[in-house]
Amino acid sequence: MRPPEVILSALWAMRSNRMRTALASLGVLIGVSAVVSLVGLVTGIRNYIRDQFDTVLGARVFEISRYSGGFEDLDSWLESRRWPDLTVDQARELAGLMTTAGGVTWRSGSGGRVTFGDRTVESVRIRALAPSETDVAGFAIGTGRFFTHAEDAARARVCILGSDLAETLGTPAGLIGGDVTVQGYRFTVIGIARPLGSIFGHGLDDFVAVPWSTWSELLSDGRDEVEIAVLPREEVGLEECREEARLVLRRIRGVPFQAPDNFYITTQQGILDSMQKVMAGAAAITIGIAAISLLVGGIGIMNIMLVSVTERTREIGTRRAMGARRRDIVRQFLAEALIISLAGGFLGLLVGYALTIAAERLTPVPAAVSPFAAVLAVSFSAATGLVFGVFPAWKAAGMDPVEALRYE
Amino acid sequence: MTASGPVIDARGLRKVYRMGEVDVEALAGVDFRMEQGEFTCMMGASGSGKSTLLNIIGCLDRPTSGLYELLGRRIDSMDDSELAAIRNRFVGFVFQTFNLLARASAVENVELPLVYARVPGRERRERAMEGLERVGLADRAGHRPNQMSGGERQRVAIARALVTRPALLLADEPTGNLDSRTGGMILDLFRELHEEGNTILLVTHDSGVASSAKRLVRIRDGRIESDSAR
Ligand SMILES: Nc1ncnc2c1ncn2[C@@H]1O[C@H](COP(=O)(O)OP(=O)(O)OP(=O)(O)O)[C@@H](O)[C@H]1O
Ligand SMILES: [Mg+2]
Repeated sequence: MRPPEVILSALWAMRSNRMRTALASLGVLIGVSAVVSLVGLVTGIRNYIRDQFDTVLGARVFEISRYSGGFEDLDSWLESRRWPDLTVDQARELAGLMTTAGGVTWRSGSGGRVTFGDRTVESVRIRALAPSETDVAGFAIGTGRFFTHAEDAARARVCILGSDLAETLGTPAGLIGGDVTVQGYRFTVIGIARPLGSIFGHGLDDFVAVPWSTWSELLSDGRDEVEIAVLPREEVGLEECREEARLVLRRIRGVPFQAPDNFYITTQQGILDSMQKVMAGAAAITIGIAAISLLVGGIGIMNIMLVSVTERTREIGTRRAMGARRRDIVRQFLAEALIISLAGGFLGLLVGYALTIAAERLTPVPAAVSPFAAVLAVSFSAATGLVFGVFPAWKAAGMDPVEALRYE
Repeated sequence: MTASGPVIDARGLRKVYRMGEVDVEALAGVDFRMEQGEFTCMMGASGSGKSTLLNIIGCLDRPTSGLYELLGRRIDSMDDSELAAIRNRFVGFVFQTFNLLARASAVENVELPLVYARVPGRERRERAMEGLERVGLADRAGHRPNQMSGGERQRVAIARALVTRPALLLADEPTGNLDSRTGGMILDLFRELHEEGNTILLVTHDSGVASSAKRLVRIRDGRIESDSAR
């Protein structure tokens, strides 16, 4: 038989038993739709994380602090508590010694109350930033300007407002050049930051940024622990710059030869990597569910196919008497299993996509329709059909024609 | 295949079925020849081995031992797909129980052997329609088997057996499931086919048919008891 005829005859056999065909493909349908929607979920979250990192943070800036940016075990966490503080003096020294850095800045922070006119906002994040030639502040200016070195050196009482905070307090035109009160001290507003958005529903634009020296004098309560941000010079690779920062800082902090670092360097890539690890775990679970549901779906198909082969024993005998070879019979039943399974897979794909879109529209879950899911659905259902169709087809083809014709 | 030699040439055919500890000898050494254009009737008690012999002759089954040549070709050395090809090209089967595909229309049923002969769709349909016309059922082409009478079904089955223009037509009690009048019509059809030059081997229980046959072979306990040609 030619391939189109194989398919036609399979469709024809299925047409005469619609209910059974539908039930047989149900398992694959459910399995594939579950997999497709899970893949949509995983893809959506992954895209979301990637977008956040792309927009919120500069990709090449890396941070040095006593705190790990990723996931650490309890022992290393306890160990890191014993490390000496990362001080502003160390940061200044690092900035002076590094040759591959395009910008080194340090920052710190506290919380407090901000007042403008008759409006007060409680527990605002106060970000203390050292000025820097290159923008490594972690935000961009929307209106107004950044602080200057001179302002930092003079401990000028100037500030930049996060966009959410600015909106709560007044209009940009009214705020810029005006005075706000931060923890009781008067600051002149010189700029408003461009909105950053949010990470996992946590707003990032609710802050006030002040020069580091000013913060240290008025708002730090004597703490001088900082976090250092380094931007590699444009022509320098991230790894090279990072390694220089590591070696220079070891020397500054007097880390003995061969002792481990007593600080963490976190690159954006590192954060992304640890996120990816979590997502890979989710993907592994998805694959597990896929395997189980397709196994169940496949067994359903095999069961139906075995029933069908038994029922059609006479037909098989007749076809053999008319000149069908074993392989014609194999093809016929394999095509049927494949079509049932592909039909289930295709419908499952549609259902899965519908679920993904519904989740994206109706819930805060950032699900995304992925073309990869379609490839997955089709190949998984085809594989299921083939794997679980082989045994019934082989059984059908193995029948002795004479016996098959005598079958009651 | 050559037109010269015999169509069927079987010598010392034995067929043994193992039933647990006992061997059932369905054929116990059969010598049988048939020339082209012959019309032979075969009779025998139930269980005498008629169907077994017919199946071997039709290359649907293999003998346990003995020599069988169909159209001058030894079939014992052939593999499954070669036998399938032989059945497809050179043998037409007609069964007692018709064995039409229930889900297919009359014309689709007649097309079936041509499907396996890889005849293209349009030509297949034309030849199947010619076949239905030959058995007088052109107007039933779209009917399914369950929409036809027993006699009509058997005629569809005959059209199907003839559609590849086989060298040999084998019929195993083709009238067994029909009343005598319809059966008579089917037998008349076989006689006509014989007159048109077909080589036919027909198993029957009807002694009236058998007595009018040119050649009558009687089988008993897996052996040929009598053969009017000898
Ligand atoms: N698959 C089998 N296994 C065991 N014995 C078999 C098998 N097929 C046939 N036989 C035996 O072989 C013998 C011949 O059977 P066969 O079907 O050829 O008889 P028959 O002459 O066609 O009878 P009927 O007129 O009833 O159709 C019988 O005794 C039968 O029981
Ligand atoms: Mg019989």
